[in-house]
Amino acid sequence: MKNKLACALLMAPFFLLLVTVFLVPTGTAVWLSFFAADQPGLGFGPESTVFVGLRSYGAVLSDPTFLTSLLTVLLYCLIYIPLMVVGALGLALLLDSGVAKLRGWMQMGLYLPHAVPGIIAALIWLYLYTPGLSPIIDLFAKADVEISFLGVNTVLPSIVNIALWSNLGYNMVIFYAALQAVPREVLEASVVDGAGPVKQALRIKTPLVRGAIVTVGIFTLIWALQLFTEPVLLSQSTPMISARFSPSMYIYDAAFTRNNYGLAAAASVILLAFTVALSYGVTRWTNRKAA
Amino acid sequence: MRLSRRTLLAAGLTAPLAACSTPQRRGAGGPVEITFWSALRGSQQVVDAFNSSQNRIRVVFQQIPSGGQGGYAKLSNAARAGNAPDVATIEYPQVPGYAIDGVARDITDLVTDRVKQKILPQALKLTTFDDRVFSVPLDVEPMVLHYREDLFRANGFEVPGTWDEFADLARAVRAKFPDKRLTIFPTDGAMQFACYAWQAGAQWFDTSGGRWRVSLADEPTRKVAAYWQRLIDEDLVFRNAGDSKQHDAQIGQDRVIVRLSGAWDAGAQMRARPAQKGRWRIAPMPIWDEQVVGTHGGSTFAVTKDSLQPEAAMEFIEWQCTHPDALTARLKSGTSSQYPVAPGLVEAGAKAFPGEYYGGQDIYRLFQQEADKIRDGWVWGPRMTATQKVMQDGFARAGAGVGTLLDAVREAQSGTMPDLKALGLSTEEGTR
Amino acid sequence: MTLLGRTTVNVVIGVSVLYTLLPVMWLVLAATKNVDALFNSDLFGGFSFVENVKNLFAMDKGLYPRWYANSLLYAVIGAAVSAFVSIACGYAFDKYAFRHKEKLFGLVLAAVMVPQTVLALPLYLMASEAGLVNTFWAVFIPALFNPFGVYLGRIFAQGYVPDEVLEAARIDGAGDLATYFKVAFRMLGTGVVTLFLFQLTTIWNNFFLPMVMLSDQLLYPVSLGLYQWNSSATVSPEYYPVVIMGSLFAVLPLIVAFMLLQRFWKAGLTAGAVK
Repeated sequence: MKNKLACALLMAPFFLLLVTVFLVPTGTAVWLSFFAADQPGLGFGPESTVFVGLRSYGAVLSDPTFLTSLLTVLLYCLIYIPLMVVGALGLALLLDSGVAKLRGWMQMGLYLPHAVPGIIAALIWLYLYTPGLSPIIDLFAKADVEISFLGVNTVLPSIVNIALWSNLGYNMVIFYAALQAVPREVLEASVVDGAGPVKQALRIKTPLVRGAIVTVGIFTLIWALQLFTEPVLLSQSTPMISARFSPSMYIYDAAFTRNNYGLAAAASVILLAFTVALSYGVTRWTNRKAA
Repeated sequence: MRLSRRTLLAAGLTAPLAACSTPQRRGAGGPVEITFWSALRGSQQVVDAFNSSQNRIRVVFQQIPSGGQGGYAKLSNAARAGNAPDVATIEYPQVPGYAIDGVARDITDLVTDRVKQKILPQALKLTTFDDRVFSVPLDVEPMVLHYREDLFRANGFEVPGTWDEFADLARAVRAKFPDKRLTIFPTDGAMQFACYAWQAGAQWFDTSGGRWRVSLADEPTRKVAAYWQRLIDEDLVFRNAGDSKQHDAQIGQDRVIVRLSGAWDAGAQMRARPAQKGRWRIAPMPIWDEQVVGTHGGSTFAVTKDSLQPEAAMEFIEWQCTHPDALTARLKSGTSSQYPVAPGLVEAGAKAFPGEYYGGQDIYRLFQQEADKIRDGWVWGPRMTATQKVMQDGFARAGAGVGTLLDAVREAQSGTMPDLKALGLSTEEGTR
Repeated sequence: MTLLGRTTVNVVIGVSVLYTLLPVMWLVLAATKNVDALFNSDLFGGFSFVENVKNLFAMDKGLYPRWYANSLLYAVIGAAVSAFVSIACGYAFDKYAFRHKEKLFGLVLAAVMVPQTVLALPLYLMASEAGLVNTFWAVFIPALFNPFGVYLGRIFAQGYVPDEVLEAARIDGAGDLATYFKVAFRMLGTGVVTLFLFQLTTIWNNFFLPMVMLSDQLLYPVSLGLYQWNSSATVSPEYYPVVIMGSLFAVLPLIVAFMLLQRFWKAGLTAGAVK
């Protein structure tokens, strides 16, 4: 098709959005991280907007609470992503193994949590973690086991569980669809070669859905790095989640509770760079492994 | 795209939207209208009394949530959008922050000598920075020791005069009653802790050198941290959130026999637990060696940068803080034991406070005596809410046995410095 | 496969399904109980479903219905507009050739990667400058942007709209835009519904942006409203049954949509993942 005007008209609305809610804000974040409304001396005089270079970056990177938030989210990714990928792939392989019963219903059941909005998933689990409300804690109590889901060391696994619960079925459906697309001849050939069902799943099927695994891995990573909703909600009930628990919470806190735009903008740019670098790294790494 | 805090704030003043939200400041010939936000109890009554006392200024009042419950966020948002109220209520620790952000207006020229003579100078000092006044205090709250006289008498406990005696008493209580503790170390109590440090001679923030010298972990603070750490390690105090149902239960079930808090808390305690009537008394704080105390709580009123009627706003503030009718009106909403900054109002407050709850004790005379002992020279920091939060995160961990109180204080310092640096303030770090 | 193997497979799947379903079941069960029964973990006592529903709609002068209406408004209109915008752009990417096309498409894909939190502060400041903070538009407009939708739109255009059809229309003398609206758009029907559903859930889930932009409770979507009520519940427990009932009502439309429109979800998921 050649009509340039038509093409432009079809694309215009989206690109208008792209510019206003993506490019300009991204640019503004970068700009804000280099310029600040400066407060010389004690800060009680008039302020003026000046170029501050890397000062805001220096401040963020020297802030132990920010570095801790980065480490927290990295630890979160390290626990969450493998569990998620292995769990979802494992379930998809089981469903695809041919012996699973009620496949349609099971898929639907597993997928259901994804229809539950994130904040509500977090609410449900928060209540299941709250002593007095939670039937789970009561069950443990009956067995004389005192369990705290919101303690110093349990709060991160508790958050992982919420994310896992929400997204396991969603990713399982993706893997299952990919497995269904594996040509039957390949599988039949492997049976002829004497591969048992376990070997077939691990040696034949899994490598064939590598593409889906990488896609799921990267999207899970991007989402995981943005960790915000679950810890923010849980922080209403436990002091073990600080207002700067994850980088996203740090940015929110810096911008809207501490009114420190320079700091928030620099932290935003760092989080962005971190996300891009990690996704790029993972893509490169998996590509090299494939080659 | 040029964006800065100040241009945004300024934009609000000229934006038509902002203009709509602050309707007709001065009707033709009518009274000047000003807006007032507060979370303080009885503010509506004070406003009504002021409005009917004269016909030049009409105050429109809006009750907002307390600072930590969203009140400060609301004020900051409004200031960003250019429609902050004429008069805002700000607690002492938050005054420098709002002053630096340009939300609280420099009112040095509006605070007349007449006002200055009516209020305690040590209170006004806390809202004066760089020789500029940014808000006018309403009450000043020396920390005092509230204790269960009935339990003290029944068990032969003496009111501790020093911190050593306090620790000994804590051991005695623990030994005698396994389920009771002398008091609580509130894990959400950075402000209580600040008060202990203040009393011990700490100087968390110092502006005397023309820059913010920050030393949260100075020698006196370390002494206080070590002291409470020992009480925690020996399991002599409760260590949970003070603002919680758990702590309510501890007090309600007679498991806590001493509370350390500002003078205002006498009234709060009375309202919250009417059943404990007659059982509480109030004594001065335990001391280290000097006869000094710190303050805990207290509010101030600021005129914001968005006010088009700063003179009228100031007139209202002066009336609220120094006129006996203002205090009388405030007490109509229920009893309060706030200690007014204007010594002229103490009489009225004392008269209105029902004595039976404290067994007829003249608590106002005690407050008066304690207010004179407030240690001079304390300065709150530029981002106190954030400093406080980081410290409390550490306290919560220390309460759960991970890390110490001193770690929490140090974390608060290292979590505060980046904020100050990114704001462009001149800073210096003291001992850590 | 051995009997043992079969049993293991089905047990593992069954346990996983219990894991995903039980919390939702608990929500349904908990919604029927009053505060006392909730705190006594009394599984079947204290039935007060009707009472809870009444309380939900009456709490704080009927804020909940208002929030619900807001969510519907943000999500339904937003998702519809977003789906049209994205599919048109994806279609253009597939059917037209122009310079730097793939680079531009790369930019679209890059936008998928950028965390929302990074954009929050600048968006807030821009909205503030435009006087849109704390208005409907501050939440509505950014939610229209769905770069992943453009990616899917391109795949759908490739799959559902054969070039020959467009060529035939052109020979018939139809203009490009007329062809798109009269011919191609109909073929893209499934795609549009898929994108609509995806964006509907995204906007319904939206929490961060409203939290940043809105301070007026009357403009809150359900997500933010329940968040606020939950913070009240930590102080006044009478909010618990209301939050639970409110959560149940907030989940229902999505679960229903998901059940009824299964094939559209799967179309999107599969297109997104396998290609």
